[in-house]
Amino acid sequence: MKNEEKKGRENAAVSGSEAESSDLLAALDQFSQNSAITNAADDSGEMQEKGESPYVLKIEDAQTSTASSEEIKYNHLKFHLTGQAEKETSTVPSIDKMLPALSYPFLNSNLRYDFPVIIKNTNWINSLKDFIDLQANENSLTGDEKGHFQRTLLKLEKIIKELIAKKSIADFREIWKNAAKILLDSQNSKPQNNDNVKSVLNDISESIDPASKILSFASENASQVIQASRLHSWYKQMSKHVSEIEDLVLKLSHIKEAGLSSSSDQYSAEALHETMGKTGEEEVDFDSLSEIVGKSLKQDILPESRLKRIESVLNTLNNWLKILSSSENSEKYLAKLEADTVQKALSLYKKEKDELINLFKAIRIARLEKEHRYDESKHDPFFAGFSALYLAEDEWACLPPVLLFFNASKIKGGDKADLIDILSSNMPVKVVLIVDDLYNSSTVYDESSYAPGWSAVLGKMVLSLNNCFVLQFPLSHAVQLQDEISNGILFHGPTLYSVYDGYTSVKTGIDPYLKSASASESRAFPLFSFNPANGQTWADAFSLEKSSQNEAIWPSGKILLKDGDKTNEQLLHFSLADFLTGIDRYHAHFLPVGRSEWHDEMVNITDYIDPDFKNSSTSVPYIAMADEKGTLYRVVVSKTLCNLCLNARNLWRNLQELGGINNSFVTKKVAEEQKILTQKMETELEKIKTNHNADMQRTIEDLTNEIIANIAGGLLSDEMISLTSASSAPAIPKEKPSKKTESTNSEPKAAEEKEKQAVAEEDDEEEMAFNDPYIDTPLCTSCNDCMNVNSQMFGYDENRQAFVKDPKAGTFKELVTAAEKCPVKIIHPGKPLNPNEPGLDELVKIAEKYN
Amino acid sequence: MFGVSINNIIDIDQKYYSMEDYQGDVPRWCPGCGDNGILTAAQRLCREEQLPPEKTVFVSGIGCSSRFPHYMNTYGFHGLHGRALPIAEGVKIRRPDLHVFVNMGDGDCCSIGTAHWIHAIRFNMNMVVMMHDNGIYGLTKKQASPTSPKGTKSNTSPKGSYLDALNPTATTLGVQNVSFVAQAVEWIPELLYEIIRQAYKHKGFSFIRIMQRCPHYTPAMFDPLMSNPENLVMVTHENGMQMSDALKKVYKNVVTHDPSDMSQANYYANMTDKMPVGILYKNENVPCYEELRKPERTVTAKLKQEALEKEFDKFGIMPTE
Ligand SMILES: Cc1ncc(C[n+]2csc(CCOP(=O)(O)OP(=O)(O)O)c2C)c(N)n1
Ligand code: SF4
Ligand code: SF4
Ligand SMILES: [Mg+2]
Repeated sequence: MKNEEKKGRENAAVSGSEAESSDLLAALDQFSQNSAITNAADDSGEMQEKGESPYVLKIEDAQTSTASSEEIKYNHLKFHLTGQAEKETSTVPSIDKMLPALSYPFLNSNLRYDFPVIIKNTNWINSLKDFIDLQANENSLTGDEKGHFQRTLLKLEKIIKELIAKKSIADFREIWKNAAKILLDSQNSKPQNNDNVKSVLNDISESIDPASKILSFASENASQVIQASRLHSWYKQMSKHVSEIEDLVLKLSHIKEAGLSSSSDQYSAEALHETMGKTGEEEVDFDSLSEIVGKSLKQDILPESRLKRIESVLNTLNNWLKILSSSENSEKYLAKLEADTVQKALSLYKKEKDELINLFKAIRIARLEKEHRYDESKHDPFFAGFSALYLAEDEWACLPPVLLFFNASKIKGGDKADLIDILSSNMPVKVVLIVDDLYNSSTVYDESSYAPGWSAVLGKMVLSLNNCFVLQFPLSHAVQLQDEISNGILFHGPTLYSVYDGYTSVKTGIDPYLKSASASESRAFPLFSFNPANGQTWADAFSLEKSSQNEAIWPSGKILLKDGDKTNEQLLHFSLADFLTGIDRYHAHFLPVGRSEWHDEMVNITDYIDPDFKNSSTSVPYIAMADEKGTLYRVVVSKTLCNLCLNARNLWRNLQELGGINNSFVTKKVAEEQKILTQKMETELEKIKTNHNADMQRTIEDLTNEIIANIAGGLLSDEMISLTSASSAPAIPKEKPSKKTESTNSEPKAAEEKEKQAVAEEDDEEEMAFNDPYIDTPLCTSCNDCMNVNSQMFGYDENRQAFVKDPKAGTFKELVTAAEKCPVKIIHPGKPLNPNEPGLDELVKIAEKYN
Repeated sequence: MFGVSINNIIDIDQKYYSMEDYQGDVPRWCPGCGDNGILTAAQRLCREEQLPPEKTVFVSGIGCSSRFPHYMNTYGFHGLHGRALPIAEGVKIRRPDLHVFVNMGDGDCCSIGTAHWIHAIRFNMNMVVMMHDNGIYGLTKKQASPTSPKGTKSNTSPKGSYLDALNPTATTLGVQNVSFVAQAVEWIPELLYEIIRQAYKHKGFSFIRIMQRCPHYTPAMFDPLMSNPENLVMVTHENGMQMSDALKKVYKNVVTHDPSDMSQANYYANMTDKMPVGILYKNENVPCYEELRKPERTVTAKLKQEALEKEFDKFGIMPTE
């Protein structure tokens, strides 16, 4: 131990005992220091040793291998090429007990994902965690109570997650109430503290829309999400027309009623006489009036054909009003517009289109009828020929889109062709393709080639149709993609939602949420959108923006790796191979290798398949995986999967180019342009240099001439030198700069005076306003003096600073005594409350000093 | 990655701590003692920063002010007179994850504990150090301390003390590796809290001299400072202490001083006519001893056991036949 270090240690040690050289004794030494602190500190010390943080992976020396290093290398290479390995080392766990090293930290069950989600509450989709955070920040509680409440809500979130995990969908308000009850029951020990919390939790449950649902991460919920989006967009679109429809219904009903009630009785001479009262007795001939009115009204206002027309229009409009009267009714209506075959979708679409045309035809007729302008000779032929062509754009937007659901692995051959047909049409049919098994949906599936399935590439294929909205995404990202999902609904033409559900039907491996998200991270199922409504160029319509680390070929992340005593940060990439480890049938393609068998021929798979990377023929590709305990292994990957990775890489590169990332044309062009630019700049530079040199030359010549002239003139005297040098040197200050204190104090004197006055005036006001006693609480030093005088009268607030709690809890004398005692003179006794208190005159006089 | 942030974790067991959660025994200081305000400020800091009590240690020496740890419901160590700092250093080097606070009196720090004080500055270990300066030995009933103003009459200086008082801030500034020096007065709670907060945020040895009233033995000592706000110079800066507009109306003597400027810091620390309040010096770049000497090997439970057994073996009796 170096001398200096030793000194340091002595100084730092509590016991000051001489440091021993033996490591064990040093450990004991440190241990005894530790126990001198406290037990609990020691407890958390243990915690630290257990794993530091859950995100640290470790490398462990498994038993040393008996095989020679050449044997090991040969074995790995053989596995890579043929998928056959010699006997595995027994201490290494099998592949199904491991997960990609980068996924390891996400195992934590307390991690807050975007799922569960809430649909049809204030927004059409929200994550539960955002809802909880919003409630935590926006409630009527303040101070400590708010702080406690925020923590309580996190517990509630956890309970809700547990409740919903058992079902895939539930009534959100119900779940909230149940969770709140469970939570409050568990905290029953202190009921008095629970009252406020209870009432706030209750307020929140009241504010939840009764129609709202909470969804856990489950395959069937993909359709729920799209349905909720459709309901929201459509309802919003329709509500623009509701008030006009209501108005038309009202007016037309009036006309109809007026017409129906005009029976002959109503227009008899007596009835008319009755309605006029005494006034018209002399002047009006009621018999004649009855004749005129009775005849004309009945026929003119409501002839049979008009009555029929109005009734039919009213019927149509009322039906729509019923549908639009609540979002529940709308939902019921929309529920009928769902299909599972292309044929059914088409017929639904046609029916729907007719109903919409009918609606707007009815509205147009009603507008004319309302103003009694419907002219049968002119309008009848017009409305007879009324068709889709007569609808305005925003009227078209009211067409509720038909949803067409498919499960990628169940879709039949014929439907595939029809699907392309419908997607290349102009019909607003929204196809929801639920993709479960990414690499197995191809009918020409072949063990040795493992081509990506049809469903994995459908999204990209449909891009070429050009007029179809495409959104390909993992279900895990539904909340983050809510705007894109809505845009797909609003798009006037066909839409394809290709949704990866995390392969929930197979219940092995990691959490389906993570599996779903890793599909897009690994580029197995890239996240992209194509919205033709944004424009016809790729740059306008196509976007990889929401895809993670879209500039990179493979996304990367950091892990902490503990190797013996050292902990280092390591950058890892997430490749297709990492994703495939989660699917059983690929397990035979992976060979986990313990630390003792690692060697220098092992190459990271992302490097291995990189065309620019130089591999030797004996290199073996691997990925990093971890077991449940956080031990890191290298896992050798078969040649077949490497080919798949390369495939996915190329597909992704291709999408990047479409998205303008590292576009090969652009790169080429840029290189060319750069070359031209560099050449141009070089010539410019050359020019500047020559000009500059010429200038310099001239100046030097001029100067020499001048100096020579000066010498000749005998002007090179001392005086001359001092003059020239003084003009170029910085001026020497005459005074030292004044101290900062002085300057800030002196400058704003006038302003300060003014302020003083203002303060004085304010003080006056305050003095007049207060008769009640008070304390300048923020200035209180918590010295206890006033509390010692009367702890009923004075109290401490949340910051342990005093205020007048109850002026009636003591005498004026006590108030004045406290004011006198208060070391910072912030207690103002005010005026006495009880005029009969003895010795008041004296006390009031003293109190004045403090008021 | 995976559409989630790894930091987005529900900590179910996490509790919200209010002021009461940090309150220990009922303080037994004299009525009106300035130590109360310092205690409140420390408790408030704990609450605002939500420091888990089991991760927080208050270490003290001996004196009235050193009773501090008893009144905090955190871990604490009421040590030996003058030895608060070495104890705190021991805690910190072994458990750098704990938040360490030190409370000392002027006698504790500047008299019997001076050697530790000087070296602690040089070690620059990450902790908040509050020196309660009442200019007197309070607990032992009124003896002059190094910071007693010249002429202070006490049991050890009945005719008044003979020497000029030691200047704790100027002294601290003079030691190598100094990284944070501030001066506070306990009777302006807003600024006391602000300064302690900044000290907590600073990584390194944050030394605060807090002028503390002892109404029992030196009731008039701070009268000139308290009665005339002009006698305080408020040293503010965007990287230093900040004060509310309301307070600026009362304490009008406000200057701006960049706490990274050592020569100006010395200027303020050595002011004699007025008392500066604020952060005089701050340097984030001084290394902390606990990091320089970070153990490379963690002491595992297994290692501890081995060490203990080896030690016990010395006393073991070999079985004979
Ligand atoms: C080694 C040792 N020497 C002397 C004492 C006696 N003693 C106890 S407290 C104290 C001084 C306290 O003054 P200060 O540190 O300023 O604290 P205050 O009481 O003023 O807060 C002394 C000298 C002691 N306890 N231990
Ligand atoms: S006496 Fe004054 S400073 Fe002390 S606690 Fe009461 S109000 Fe606060
Ligand atoms: S003697 Fe002074 S410092 Fe000690 S408790 Fe009393 S007032 Fe406070
Ligand atoms: Mg003292």
